[in-house]
Amino acid sequence: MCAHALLCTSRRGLYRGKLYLEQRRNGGGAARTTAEAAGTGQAEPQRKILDWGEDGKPIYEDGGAEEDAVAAVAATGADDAGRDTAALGGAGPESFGGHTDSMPNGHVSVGTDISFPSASHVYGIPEHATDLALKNTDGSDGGYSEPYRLYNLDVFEYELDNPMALYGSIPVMVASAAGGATAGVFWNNPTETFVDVTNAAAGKASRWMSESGLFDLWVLPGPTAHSVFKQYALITGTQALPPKFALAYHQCRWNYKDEGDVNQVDQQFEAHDFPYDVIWLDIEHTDGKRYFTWDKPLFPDPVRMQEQLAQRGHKMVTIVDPHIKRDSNYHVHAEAASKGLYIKNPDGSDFDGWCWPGSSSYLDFTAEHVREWWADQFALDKYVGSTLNLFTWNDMNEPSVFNGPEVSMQKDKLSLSGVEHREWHNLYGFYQQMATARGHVKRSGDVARPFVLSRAFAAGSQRVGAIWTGDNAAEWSHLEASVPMLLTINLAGLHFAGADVGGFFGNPDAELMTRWYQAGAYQPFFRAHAHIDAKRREPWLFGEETTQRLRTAVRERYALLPFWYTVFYKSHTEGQPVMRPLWVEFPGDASLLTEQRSWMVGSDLLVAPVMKQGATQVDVVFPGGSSVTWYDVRSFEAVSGGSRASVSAPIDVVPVYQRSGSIIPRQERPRRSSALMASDPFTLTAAIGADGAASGTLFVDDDLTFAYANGAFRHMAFSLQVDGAANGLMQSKHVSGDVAFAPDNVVERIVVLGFPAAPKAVTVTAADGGATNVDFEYDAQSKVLTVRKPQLAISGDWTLTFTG
Amino acid sequence: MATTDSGMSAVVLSPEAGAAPLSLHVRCMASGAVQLRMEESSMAPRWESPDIVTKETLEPATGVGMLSGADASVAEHLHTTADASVMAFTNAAGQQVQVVINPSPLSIKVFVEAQEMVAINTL
Repeated sequence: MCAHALLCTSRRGLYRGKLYLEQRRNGGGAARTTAEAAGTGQAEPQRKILDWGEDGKPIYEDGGAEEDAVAAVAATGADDAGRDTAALGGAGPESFGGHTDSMPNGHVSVGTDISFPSASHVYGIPEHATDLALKNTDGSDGGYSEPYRLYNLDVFEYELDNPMALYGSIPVMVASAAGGATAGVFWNNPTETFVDVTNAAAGKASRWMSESGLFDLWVLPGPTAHSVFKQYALITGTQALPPKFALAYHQCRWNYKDEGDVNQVDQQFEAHDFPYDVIWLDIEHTDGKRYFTWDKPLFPDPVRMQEQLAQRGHKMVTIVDPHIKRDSNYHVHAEAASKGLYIKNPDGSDFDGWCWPGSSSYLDFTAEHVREWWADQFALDKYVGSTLNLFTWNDMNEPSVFNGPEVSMQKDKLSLSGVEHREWHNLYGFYQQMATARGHVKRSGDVARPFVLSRAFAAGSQRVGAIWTGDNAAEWSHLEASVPMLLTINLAGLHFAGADVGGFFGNPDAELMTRWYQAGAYQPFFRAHAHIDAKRREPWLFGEETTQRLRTAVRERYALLPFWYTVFYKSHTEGQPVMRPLWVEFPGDASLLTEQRSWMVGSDLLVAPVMKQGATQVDVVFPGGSSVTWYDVRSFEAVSGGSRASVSAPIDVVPVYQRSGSIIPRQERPRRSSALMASDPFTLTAAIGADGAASGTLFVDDDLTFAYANGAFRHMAFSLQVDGAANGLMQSKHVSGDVAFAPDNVVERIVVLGFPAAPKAVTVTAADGGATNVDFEYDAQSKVLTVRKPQLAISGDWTLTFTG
Repeated sequence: MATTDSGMSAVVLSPEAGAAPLSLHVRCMASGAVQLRMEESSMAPRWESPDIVTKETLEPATGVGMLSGADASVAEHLHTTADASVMAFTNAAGQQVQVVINPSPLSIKVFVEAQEMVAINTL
């Protein structure tokens, strides 16, 4: 439901076909009313409110039935959407859901029509739980009857297949034509925005209407998808290169209740030989939801706890939300209040809203000096109990205000520079994440890369960390929805994204858990998470068979960490998505433009997981035409491109295929954390293309710091060329990075898929010119050549010669 | 980088009745991207001081991203009169990009290699 339905409708009708700027008006003497119940904590004067829920409903002292604040004011003369109709079209206050927006500047909206004359489909404008190819919003072609809304909100139990606003907003649209031509636009506006999508006489049309802000439109004319991504990345930045552990598996729930619980979970991972890198603590670890503190009885020695985890390479994340408990004995609040760092009411007092700790104030992260102050809170001597092994989760940063309009902040609250919240609402979470990331960097003396997960996001968020899709549910439909949501977020430049594996609300059974781990293992951010009311669901709690399946899925993730890390390096340096729709890699194939059940990791892995209950077959699209062959990564069975097939996928199997012409690096020794893999050998799997060639790259550095920015890395390029008589060369060349950085990992195995015939010999030539024959094995039926123990330096130049 | 400028006469944009004239700032980037930004020339900016969006949302040229060579502006023009104009430039990939602005009714079209990619349709 569009909360501002009347606004949408009226403006769409009035301003059709126009570039539209509604000018600032005098407020007509409209006083900045203080009538909002939110500020006083009273929705009904005769009943005392004790608390507010995350769903925005008051909890009364008398224990009476909860009553939605919107309903409470429905009888006040507002329209069906809760909006004061008298104010529409003119200056002056508006009422909505029991709240009044004083609107001292009147309506100041801005909008335009944008069309893509050659396009058949448009994509992007996350975050919505909807299809990858955006549905029309005029009701045509089975579409919606409301526009997509971009307004960061803490949405309780969000609905699928809906254009409603969710936690993040990136006003980027990408349009693609059946022939492959691709273009995009970036509407650089962080205010509440509605976007309509319709068919045009030629191509697709869109209408953009923002509540305020300037007209600042970036046209990204492509003409290819990859060029659109680069054009956008050059404007707003590329994905920050994560520390490698952040690409591994994360274990989270609301909440691991104390140090004993953390220790027990950690030991169970060890006992079950199950890899994980990070264990997370939700809000209950704090002293009364005072962030940067610990519940001392439950977490008496957090430094020791983190150091114990670190012994096996594990990290910890704690949650640090933006709302600050208004408690004068809480040092963070006392200092923030005394320094005047909080968002203000129109009368100049500190804004006071309701969130987890109760009465709370909200830092003005739009101010640079506030961000620096926040960053300083992460100093090890300020955040008592923290270590360099502790990272951060910024939740509730839309911002969530339980007693605010739509569970967020009133739009007429003011930044420290006097700018209304309406003008920067969608940037709030981005700025908090930016400040937190800055804190991680500062605390390490500008050495270590940060890791910060945020729920809210905006254009540019990719520069400061990861995001996830918020509070999903343990339902098959949510597993399925995670794919188009993550693909859409990736198309909009934010590549480090994931969905809660297992689903946040509810209790997944063993089958759903298995299928979700299998899908999540091939999505950029891989974290299991659960609501506090959900049953415990650590991976060993579903029986041994399921534990084995989950372990297999997670081990597949770990084996591919060198590949993931390299794909993220390309994301960081070239702006190309990590998780890609098939149409991006195979432009010109119109049948792929709506495909959202499978995806590419980088350019070389095709993933088609089971996402239907009870299914043991998956219909897989194998793109690329007859010149492309797809190799099952487990059986090495070859499938021709340009085909569709029903693939067997029993509960143990997630269908994943390597594209011919590629070389993919792996580290295949099972370990308990990514840190323990640092010295492990590599396997290179080359899949020969139709032209007899294959290529790939590998990025290696110290996995943790900014040293790579000063050259302390190796970017290796691998190439292979083989003729039909089994003669050929495979080469490794150092293409960039400091030669002084030389990790001593070796290549212990090279697997070549599609090798035409058994070679007579395989010879290694090292950089010093020495040549040595190495062992190999050839399977004539599968055409797989395995070169064993060539013991080549992963960071060195070398040549492998195949003699047919 | 070939950049041509056909006249660079300007466009007066007519906003809603009673409002002040706006000017259109067009910036063509080496990547091929084109920025179209309205500037409210005779009225107080709504929230540009400080400019929260352009200050932090956009990647500064010297930022942390490692894309080789930050995008560079290859042509910039401020349109303030009512004549049509065409800006053409060659992007970093060697493709011809054209920005065609027609003032009445206002429309802006962006072409790559003569193919119309994006149209902004206005009054």
